[in-house]
Amino acid sequence: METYELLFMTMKNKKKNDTDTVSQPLVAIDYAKRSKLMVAVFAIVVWGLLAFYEPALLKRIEELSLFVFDETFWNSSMNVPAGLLGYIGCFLMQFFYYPVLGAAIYVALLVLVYFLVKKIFTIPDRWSSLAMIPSVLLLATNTQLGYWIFYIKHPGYYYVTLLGVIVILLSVWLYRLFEFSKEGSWLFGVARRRLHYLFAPLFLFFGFPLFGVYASAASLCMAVISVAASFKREGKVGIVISSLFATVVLFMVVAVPLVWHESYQMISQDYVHAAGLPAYHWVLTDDDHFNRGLMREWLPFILLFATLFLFSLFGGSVPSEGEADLRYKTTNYVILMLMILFACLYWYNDNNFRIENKQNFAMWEGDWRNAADYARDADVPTRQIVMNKNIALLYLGRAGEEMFTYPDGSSDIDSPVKVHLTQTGGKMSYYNYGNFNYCYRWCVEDAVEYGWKVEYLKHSVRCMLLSGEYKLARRYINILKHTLFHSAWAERYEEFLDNPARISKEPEFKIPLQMYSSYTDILDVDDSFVEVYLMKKLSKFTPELPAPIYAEAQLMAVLTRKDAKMFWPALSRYFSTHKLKRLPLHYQEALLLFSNLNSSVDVSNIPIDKAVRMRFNAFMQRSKQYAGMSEEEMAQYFTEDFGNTYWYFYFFVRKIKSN
Amino acid sequence: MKTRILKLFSLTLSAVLLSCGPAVPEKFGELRTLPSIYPDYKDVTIPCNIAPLTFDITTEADDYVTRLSAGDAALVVGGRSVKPSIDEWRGLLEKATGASVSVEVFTAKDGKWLLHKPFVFNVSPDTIDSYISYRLIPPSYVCYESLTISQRNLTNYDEDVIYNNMLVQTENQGQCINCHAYKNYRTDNMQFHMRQFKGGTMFVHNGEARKVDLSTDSTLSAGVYPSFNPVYDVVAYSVNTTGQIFHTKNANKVEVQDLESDVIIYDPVANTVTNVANSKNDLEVFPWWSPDGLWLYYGTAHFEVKDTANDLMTEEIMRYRDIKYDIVRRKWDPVAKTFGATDTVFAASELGKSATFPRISPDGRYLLFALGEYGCFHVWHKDADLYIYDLNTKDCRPLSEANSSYAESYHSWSSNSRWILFASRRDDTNYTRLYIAHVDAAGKASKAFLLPQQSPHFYNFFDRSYNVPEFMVEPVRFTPHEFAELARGDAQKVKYESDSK
Repeated sequence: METYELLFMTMKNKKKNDTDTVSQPLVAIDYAKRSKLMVAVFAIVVWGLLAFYEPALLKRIEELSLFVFDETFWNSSMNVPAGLLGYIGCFLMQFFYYPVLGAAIYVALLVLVYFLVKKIFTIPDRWSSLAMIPSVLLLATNTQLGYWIFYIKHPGYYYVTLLGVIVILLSVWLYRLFEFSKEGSWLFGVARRRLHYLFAPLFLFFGFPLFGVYASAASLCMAVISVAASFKREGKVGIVISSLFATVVLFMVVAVPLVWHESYQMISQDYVHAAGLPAYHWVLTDDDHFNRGLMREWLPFILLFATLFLFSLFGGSVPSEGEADLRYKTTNYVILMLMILFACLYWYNDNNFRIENKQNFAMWEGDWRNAADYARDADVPTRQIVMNKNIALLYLGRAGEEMFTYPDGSSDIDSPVKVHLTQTGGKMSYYNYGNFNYCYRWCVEDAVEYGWKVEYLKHSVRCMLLSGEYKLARRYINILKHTLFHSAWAERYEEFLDNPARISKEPEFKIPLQMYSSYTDILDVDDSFVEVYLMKKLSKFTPELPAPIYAEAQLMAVLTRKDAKMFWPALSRYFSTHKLKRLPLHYQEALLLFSNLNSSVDVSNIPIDKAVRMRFNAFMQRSKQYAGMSEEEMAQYFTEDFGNTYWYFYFFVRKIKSN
Repeated sequence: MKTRILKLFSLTLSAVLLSCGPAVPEKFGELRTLPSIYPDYKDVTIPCNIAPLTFDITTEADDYVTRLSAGDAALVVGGRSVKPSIDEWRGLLEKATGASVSVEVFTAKDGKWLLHKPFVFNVSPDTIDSYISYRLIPPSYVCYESLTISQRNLTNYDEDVIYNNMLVQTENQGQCINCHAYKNYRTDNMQFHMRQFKGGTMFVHNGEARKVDLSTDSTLSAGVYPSFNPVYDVVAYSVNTTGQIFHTKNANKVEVQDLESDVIIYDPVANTVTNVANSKNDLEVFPWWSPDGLWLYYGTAHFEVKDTANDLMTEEIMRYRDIKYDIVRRKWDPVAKTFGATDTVFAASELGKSATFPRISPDGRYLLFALGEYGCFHVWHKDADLYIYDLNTKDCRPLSEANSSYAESYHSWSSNSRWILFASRRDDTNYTRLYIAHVDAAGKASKAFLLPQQSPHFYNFFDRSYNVPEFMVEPVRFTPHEFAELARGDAQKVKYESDSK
């Protein structure tokens, strides 16, 4: 039996025994507790999930945002309608730097929305599940994002809609103070029926630059409330006046954004009415997959505004009295279940996405072991996961032993937005392979498209520092020094600027600098395909005096590309740059495979482990045994015994599609 | 009683405010070193009508006082940021015109005040044109998003948008804008281009704006780099096929190359275009008319295919360092509308260099151009410097007084030929900023100074480059929304006339 039912029964019994007590308040207290319990459970669950299940996501969201204490930043935020919400949103997004704190602030505002809805639309405790709907929908507008976090062009987006809804609720609350204050009550009583007709248009006109579409939505809610109230309480004249008022508001919702548009140059007339909403594409395209995704993304917003309008229409009409009958209980259960279902469906729960984010932070921390190990959690990894893992193993010096012991492949990315590595983790890959110009290029390209972010600034600092462009590095350090949580990072890197001789001695920079020094300058393009570009470049470009790390990276690239022709020179270069007691496992495997495919190469002087040779023979034997099977069938049979070999990768990890 | 209280309150408030004002310390030691300030305005020459030069003192100290003085006028500013008000500044400049404003910086550390070696702002009686315009663009490679062509009043800090692509472009369809130009520094004849979505050229002719499509089947592309003839009603354009490719290691980062380019003439009355120079093996770019309107200057590079690659474009990319531009000119007959033979003005290629962007001072005396090692897009070339060529004596020299060890390009002469405005990357090597320098009658420049802003640390956070700076004597009258309205409409197609001889 559920808690609230127990409470309800206790109270019923109490009612029978207590002759001085009226029954209704006791039942109300029961519902109040129930609603508080529901909010508490909601808050704790959402906070717990965000802070402890998605900490890497929250941190990534913070790194893909920027708030700077400077008037230039303020001015650039305010040059679009709803800029104030974006500015405050950027400020609040900083706190995701500490996921526990950031999630707490976020959840606190969701709870505030619940209480405001309940208060303003006079939703009784027994129907408090209804008041939870906007908070759940707001949550869904963000938890659905997934890879959109790399592409969304909406500064402060995580908070903009939430803050916008708070603005709607507070303004509606103020409006109701005007409209429904009692005759003769202090301040608003005298002006009743006069001021509220002025408030909505004035709020819309002066609120639009600050709150954009949320000012429009607020005034529409006010119009709905006015019309609904007039039908309930007033005669024909009142209905006519309210309808006129609603018509004026409706007209202003169309006209005011256009009037204000004359003062803005950063937004097209086509979008001005939607200022403050994320810039998901409005126009459907020929791509059905893309369109389905978009409809999905807009749904929480549509439902959110619809809910607020419905509350405005029926607010105050929800019965607060009556027995807790079956209909009431069933409806509440259904609402709760639907909300939970909706929240679950709209929680982007992609394991690969989570792994990529975790790897990203491990790589920033130089925690190469974890960066590699996270890749083991993937079923079929994305190419970003594979690249991150290979970089981590290269840095750990474990590539030759472990590279093909991890899940491999190229999982499709579940996103309506077309995802390129350049935006997700390509910058990190370029940096770690010593391609500083390309890392910096994508920082700048993405800053143009999506605005500067902490992540781009940090990459830019490292790249410019290591390529000797100290003036530019100082520029980006200076910006980071004006952030709340990244100033310490910036100051640490500023020390290198003040003493550049320390750069080459810093262990963190050792491998990127060795890679960088192995290249000579050429002109080329990557066409946004980071892995293809890097693997091709590493395989084909041979410096006169490659650093040992470059020789190994080249060998890894050749193996990834399954390039039998380039394998032998790459292996030779690897031998010449490494003092080896034993050739690492996977390189032995590759050597056996390629020598078997090309018998003209003499490898008799290269020592191969007996176990590796025996395993290879077993692999070849098994191949003959399974001849005639389809590739998929063979892959299944080989997985258990040979899934961690280069041979398996060579023959069965096929059709790799890099994004 | 109330009045007395109010009076007393006012007096007290005034006394408090006055006592809070900065004052030059009575006792101080003297330093022989100049203070460190940003922007570096030490000993620059400024026009007598420029907006206040604001700066931050970057020398570390506990407290700061700065005294700016000229004759008997003085202005004392407290704090690290020195931001004189416009009225106070004008008062100072009035006293200092033809002389200088002395700047004394006092810094305090551990309770002791020190006076740094003073520096000056030399105030030239030569006024500067009141307006400039520029494109604000992130220092981008391929992507673009929000771009504006903006105008700035140099006598104060007012900046307005002339056109913003965000007014027209959509999320899916971007619009690039570029190449604003004016006839004789006035805005009743001006133009700028829009590319891709709703593309065309916004052309204002005698105060009437229209959108034209300058592309024809007989020319390489629509018009690109423009130059209004100052006397006759024609505009010269280069037409270009431009590509971008990226350095993997070089600090220049990007090469913007013309893979093909010619020069055309547009007649806005007849709405026709004519080819001027379209030789197969020559790349012609950046046309510029002489002040008398009778000579057309431009940069040209001769490029012979050596079959080192599969196609011409790949070869041009591979041999990008071999592409070197000279500055040439051709005589124009405005009656017959024909051009004479090509006359080489500055053979940079013979020196192993590349000269582009010829700009002649309105008095006809000097040719200013950008010289680098190779190529035409010197804004990305760290080695690019401004050179001045005396058209009377044919002497040529680097404008060392104004140059830096970083890229300088995109220069423009003021209407009185005494000021130059140019783009430089000296601040942080990547973001182009606008610098102004005085050039005297003998062609000698002064130290260049950064375009002043109301906030001295404005540039630290401003993430746009200033592109194609141009002087104007009046602001553009059309609003961005008026231009946007036209931009949304269809472009008027130009007609092609047979090649000019």
